[in-house]
Amino acid sequence: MTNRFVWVSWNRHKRAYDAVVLGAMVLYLAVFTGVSIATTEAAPDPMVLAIRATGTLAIVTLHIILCIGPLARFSDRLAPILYNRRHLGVSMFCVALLHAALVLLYYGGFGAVNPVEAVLLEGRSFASIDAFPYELLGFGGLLVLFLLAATSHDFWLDLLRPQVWKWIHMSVYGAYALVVGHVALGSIAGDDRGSISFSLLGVGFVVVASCHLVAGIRELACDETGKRPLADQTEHPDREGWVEVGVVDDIPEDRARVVCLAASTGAPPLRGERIAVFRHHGGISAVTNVCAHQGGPLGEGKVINGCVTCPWHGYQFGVEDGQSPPPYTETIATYRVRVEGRTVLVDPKPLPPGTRVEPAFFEASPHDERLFEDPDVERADPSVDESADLPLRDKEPDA
Amino acid sequence: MSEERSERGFYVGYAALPRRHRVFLLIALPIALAGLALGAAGLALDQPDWGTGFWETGAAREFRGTITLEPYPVLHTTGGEVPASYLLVEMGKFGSADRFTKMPEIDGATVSIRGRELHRDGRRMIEIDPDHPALGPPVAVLPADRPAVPPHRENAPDAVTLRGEIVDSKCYLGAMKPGAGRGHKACATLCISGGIPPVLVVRDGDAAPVYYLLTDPGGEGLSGSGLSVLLPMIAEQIEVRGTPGHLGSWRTLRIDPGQFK
Ligand code: HEM
Ligand code: HEM
Ligand code: FES
Repeated sequence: MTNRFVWVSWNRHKRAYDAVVLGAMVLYLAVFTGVSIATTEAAPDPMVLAIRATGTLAIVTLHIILCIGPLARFSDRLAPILYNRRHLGVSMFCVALLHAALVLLYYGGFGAVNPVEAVLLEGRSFASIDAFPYELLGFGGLLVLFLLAATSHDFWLDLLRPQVWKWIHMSVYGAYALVVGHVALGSIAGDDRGSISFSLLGVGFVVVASCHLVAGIRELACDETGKRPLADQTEHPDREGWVEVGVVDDIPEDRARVVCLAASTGAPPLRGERIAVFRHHGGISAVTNVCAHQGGPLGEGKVINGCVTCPWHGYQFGVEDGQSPPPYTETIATYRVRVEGRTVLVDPKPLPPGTRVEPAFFEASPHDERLFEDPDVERADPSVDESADLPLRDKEPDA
Repeated sequence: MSEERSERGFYVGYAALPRRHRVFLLIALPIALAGLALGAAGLALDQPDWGTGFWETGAAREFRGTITLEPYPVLHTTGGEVPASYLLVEMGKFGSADRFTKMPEIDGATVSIRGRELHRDGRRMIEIDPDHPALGPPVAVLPADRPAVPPHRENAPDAVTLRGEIVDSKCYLGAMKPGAGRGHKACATLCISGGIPPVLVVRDGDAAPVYYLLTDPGGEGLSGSGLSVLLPMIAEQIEVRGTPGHLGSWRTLRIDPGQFK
């Protein structure tokens, strides 16, 4: 029953997300077109209007995309926006492609030279700002966006490994730079557009940059202030290199405390690996903080149906064995744990991904039980075999 | 702190939306959409003027007058309220010089031309209709019942320096709006290299812009290497030195493309 319910609501989220994205894009185009028509006496050229509407929509969406990552780190209320952002990326690529196609057709067509050459090269010079083919910058940006859109499917993620894939994804910042150059050297520098566009481009850059800066600083501050404490790795004769994580009571039920190992090389502030230490059904288990899907922060996730559930896209890994429930095959590294009194200790040497580790049980104190229950999330019926309920998550083609 | 955190709902994409996420979205989404609409309106208001270009639609009409081929093919009519000089261009991004080099004898003749009119600020142009099985060729020499009127031509003795923008006359006069500016640069370059006559638009404050048909120093149409030198200057505000003159109702400017090297 839980299974069925969850399946339907997964569909609903994605559909709702896409509907909102589509609706917002239609809203933008309608307002842009409507205001343009309402404020000119002669009717605007419909093709030029479409070129401008799609071009500006694409760059506005690009700014939103660039801010989602850091914004989602400010508050987990923004998690729903992060969840399906690849669809936002693909949508914006489609809008930019339409913009480029209309330009090639209208400005590049009907002439003696082929449209691509006409738009990108004819009569241009790389030596001068005035004659610089700013369209070429847009073209470069579009190529990068194409690369992202084309590799967005989880098939590529598996093939390229998340690290490589994420590297490719970082080129979105290159696309951003190219597109800003495209507009700055194009319409804005050419006096075609006025002060509003110019200031918006500046404001956009400031917003994107400060989102990233603030998110980065907070991330570092987390490690410093003990929200993610640096594990105490000072030699302890009887602990054989195991590190102290804190006390059981620091960890909410079904949630984790993240510890940051000191980097194996280099001095602080270099950080080493992060371990997410979960508390579940009176036991403590530790897994890597890095999700096998796209590196999401598992320690900000929650144990649902006995599985650590990633806050980004909901991939699940058994809290005891780091294995995704069948039919899924992803695995994450686990760590050995033990509890002394109420102090939690972790062996910092990761075990091979998918290695089962018995949870370290501790004695329940009177106020432990159900104190951290979350009324909002469907919980598994304890009478049901948990593993039967697990294969819920989306592994459908995603983009 | 731990308690506060655990009481918050946890979002999983495929599970039910926790209440606190739902409340947040219900408040944030309308605000975000309103901001988006505001941004769209701001960007729309910030667009350059669309201009007053006009391009006739519907069936092609017939225009009668005297044709001259240099510097560019022009039809001079006397029928209307004021004499008018129409630049002659083909469909697409092509001038009509090629058509008329095959019939040099037509220079100065009285002709009938089937086409559609473009105009802006009193500057006029005809896009010649293509050959049509039922209607026949679009250009016909008329029997000279009266002598053709040669158009007014003159040239000033002294060179002047003007500041303005080189546009392709077809888009600017109405084929595309606004048909000027850097956004339109690639298209204007394509048009002008395809033989559409280049025109210098000189603006002085709020006064009506002044238009100059650009020719080479000998008063002939710009072509070949002279034209290539011009191409990177298109759609930018530039200074041009040349000798002004008149051809019918058009102002002309004889320029030495070498000044741009
Ligand atoms: C088209 C398919 C796309 C998919 C599947 C997708 C999804 C993702 C995901 C899940 C990540 C890695 C998670 C992370 O480290 O934050 C990522 C990184 C990123 N993607 Fe995409 N995206 C796609 C396209 C795009 C496009 C077209 C853009 C921009 C126009 C874009 C912008 C970004 C940014 C800004 C990052 C890194 C920032 C960060 O770490 O938060 N993505 N993308
Ligand atoms: C092959 C790729 C591209 C080409 C050939 C191209 C070409 C152009 C041209 C010719 C203009 C001037 C339009 C006008 O003012 O009439 C323009 C404007 C613009 N383009 Fe692109 N572009 C390309 C890609 C992109 C991409 C990927 C983006 C954004 C993600 C983008 C965003 C814009 C924006 C915001 C404008 C300003 C619109 C305006 O002035 O109203 N372009 N582009
Ligand atoms: S990063 Fe996608 S589910 Fe964890």
